[in-house]
Amino acid sequence: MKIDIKFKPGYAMATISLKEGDKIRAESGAMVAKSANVDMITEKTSRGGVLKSLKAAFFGGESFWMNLFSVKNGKGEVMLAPTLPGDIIEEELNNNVLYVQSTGFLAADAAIDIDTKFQGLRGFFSGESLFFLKLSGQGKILLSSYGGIEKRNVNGTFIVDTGHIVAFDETLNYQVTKFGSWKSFLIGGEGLVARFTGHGNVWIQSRNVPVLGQWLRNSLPPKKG
Amino acid sequence: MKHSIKHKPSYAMVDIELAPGESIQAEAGVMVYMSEDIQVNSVLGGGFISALLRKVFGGESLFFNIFSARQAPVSVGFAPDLAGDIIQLDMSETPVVIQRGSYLCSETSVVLKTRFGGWKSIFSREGVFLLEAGGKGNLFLSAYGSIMEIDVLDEYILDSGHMVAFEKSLDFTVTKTGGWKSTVFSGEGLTMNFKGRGKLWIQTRVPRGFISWLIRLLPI
Repeated sequence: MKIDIKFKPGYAMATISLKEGDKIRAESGAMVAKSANVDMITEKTSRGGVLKSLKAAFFGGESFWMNLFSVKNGKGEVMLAPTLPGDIIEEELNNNVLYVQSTGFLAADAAIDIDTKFQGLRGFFSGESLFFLKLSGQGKILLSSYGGIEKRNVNGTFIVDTGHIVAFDETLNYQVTKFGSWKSFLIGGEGLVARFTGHGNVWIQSRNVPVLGQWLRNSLPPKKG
Repeated sequence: MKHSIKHKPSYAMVDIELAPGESIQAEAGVMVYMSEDIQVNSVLGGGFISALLRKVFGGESLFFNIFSARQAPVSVGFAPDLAGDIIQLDMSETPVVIQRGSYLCSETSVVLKTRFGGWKSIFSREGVFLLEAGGKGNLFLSAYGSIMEIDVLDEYILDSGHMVAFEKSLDFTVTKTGGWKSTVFSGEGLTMNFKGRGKLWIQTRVPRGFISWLIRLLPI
């Protein structure tokens, strides 16, 4: 499986070259185009049955269904793009575990297991959805960001605004906490932040999806009725 | 203080490195990430009355956050809410007047004051409350779209929604474009007429232009 990412960083699109035996699972709606000999099978998000998939659809914020692409004979390609403007990066899992914020997932090798982890009331409290997909196994994955994306190696402690998190390694401990003192938390306009500790990587995006939503809600006239 | 602006021009983010004892002030809500060993203090921007007036009329935040390094060097990242670029200005002599929404962050040696844009400016939402930055140090401005610098030599006319900032050596008046008919039908709204000599920074897109376009598409 060869991945070529074009149109970085504002409107990135990934072209995945598949040979026989290669399979990639992508977020539903991400397909832009594909070769005629590339097959697409629509399937449930996780393998754990309907209940698990429902959980993924409801809590993970991702569609209930994902599409699995494979090639029938010879070679073929499929092009994938996320919904929002921004970048795509390729990463590889080597039997390690990565948590990906639901809007940051674009695609993964079919060998990667996708599961959800409910983050509880803390996400609700901030008014931002803080739901993560848990990716494990071995193979390539594609992360997408709203705006630019950067990988930060954390060794110690690092604080990130929750809306800017794309993904993080399971080796990092994290805690959703208030920004600064109580005074800063209440009046500083930052809301909740994630405090990562330990050693591992965190992927950050340069724009914030909940902030975009808030701006649109504030700017657009209220819904009638 | 060291800085680098990344992800230019569409989704720019500025990374600031602070040495022990250094501080940076930022608009509320723009922090992306920060080191653990950073001290945060939230302060009222530009005095209570002006902050309150801005909140009421401009919908802007009342507060700024000040990030300070204690014993060890720290880093902090800032990004504006909307898609667009960030520029850095090195303040020294001429104060700069900023459209409120374009202020991102500045060194604490930069002094900020709220300035009322005049009664006429009430009709152009952008010019009602302006920030005036004086003093010395780094000032970072953000824009919706890209930012362009214009050297005004005598006179220049700008659609008010495109204004980011201008040097205080320039004066401006708010007027309507042409007659009332063109104000209503030309889609140009109000213009700012600048006079004098100095720099003017403009943004290539207007947030409310995008919003009006969306409103026409939405079933509301």
